[in-house]
Amino acid sequence: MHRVAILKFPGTNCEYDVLRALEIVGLRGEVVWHRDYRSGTYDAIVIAGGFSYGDYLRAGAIAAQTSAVGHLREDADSGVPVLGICNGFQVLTEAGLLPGALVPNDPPGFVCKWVRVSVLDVKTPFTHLYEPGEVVYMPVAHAEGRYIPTGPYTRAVAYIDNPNGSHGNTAGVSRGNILGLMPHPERAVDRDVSRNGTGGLKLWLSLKLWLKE
Amino acid sequence: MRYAVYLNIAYKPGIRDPEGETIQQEIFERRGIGVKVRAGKCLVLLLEASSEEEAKERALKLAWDVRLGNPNVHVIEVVRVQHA
Repeated sequence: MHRVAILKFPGTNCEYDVLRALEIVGLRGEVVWHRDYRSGTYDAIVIAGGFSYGDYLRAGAIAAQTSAVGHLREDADSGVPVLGICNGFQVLTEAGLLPGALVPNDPPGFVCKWVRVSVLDVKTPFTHLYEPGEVVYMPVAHAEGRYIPTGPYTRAVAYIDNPNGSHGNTAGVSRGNILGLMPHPERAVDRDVSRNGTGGLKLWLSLKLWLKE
Repeated sequence: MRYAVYLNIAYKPGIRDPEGETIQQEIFERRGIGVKVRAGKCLVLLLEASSEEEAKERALKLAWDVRLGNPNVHVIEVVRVQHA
């Protein structure tokens, strides 16, 4: 069975939501403490959301400098699917694994609500089951989600109603096998607790099928 | 004249500073670099004053009047004053 690591740093708090989302589609997730993570061990890596290292210095900045991210870089370079959600996306940009930066929202403040997003890049390991331009609901919960590009980038997911001033309504950025998302697909998988559908489910199913192929 | 007064609001030396300690440990010490780090918040106040000295005094008074720092635990220092 495929092994999916859910990376946990001090302050990560969405790891069990990701674990449950993986379980719902029949994937085996393992919450892995960052010091215990080694490259070459897992078939896919998810950096879960939260507030790694208390958002000290900048959101994601300290986690991006840990040895775990050195291992992550090796896995990413060898084609292992890597997904960063929310704070995980911030870690990926701080580490330079994805281009650009995520800065405080405009208008300022913490935004916590359901948003509609359009899936644009349907070639990634996490999105290939979506139709190009498919619109789904996912929740966002962040204060630093305004994407600032530093050069060309692939907009993988776009907000329909931009909640944070992100450049080009960018909600997610991809680079080959790496995807960063500010919305939380792991919170849109369960009909019993999600009031806006299960638009995140296809993301986890995409990963499952990708790993099987 | 218009001045920019750069203020640093930080914990008093005797107060533990988790952000500074975390940056010290996770950014510097893990690379074997031995430096001590204290975190603070830098705010730049743009204000009118007739001299640098007046700008500095005015900014500090304003900072404490509106309680940018908690006098029990913080120090507020002027890092720089320049024409704006």
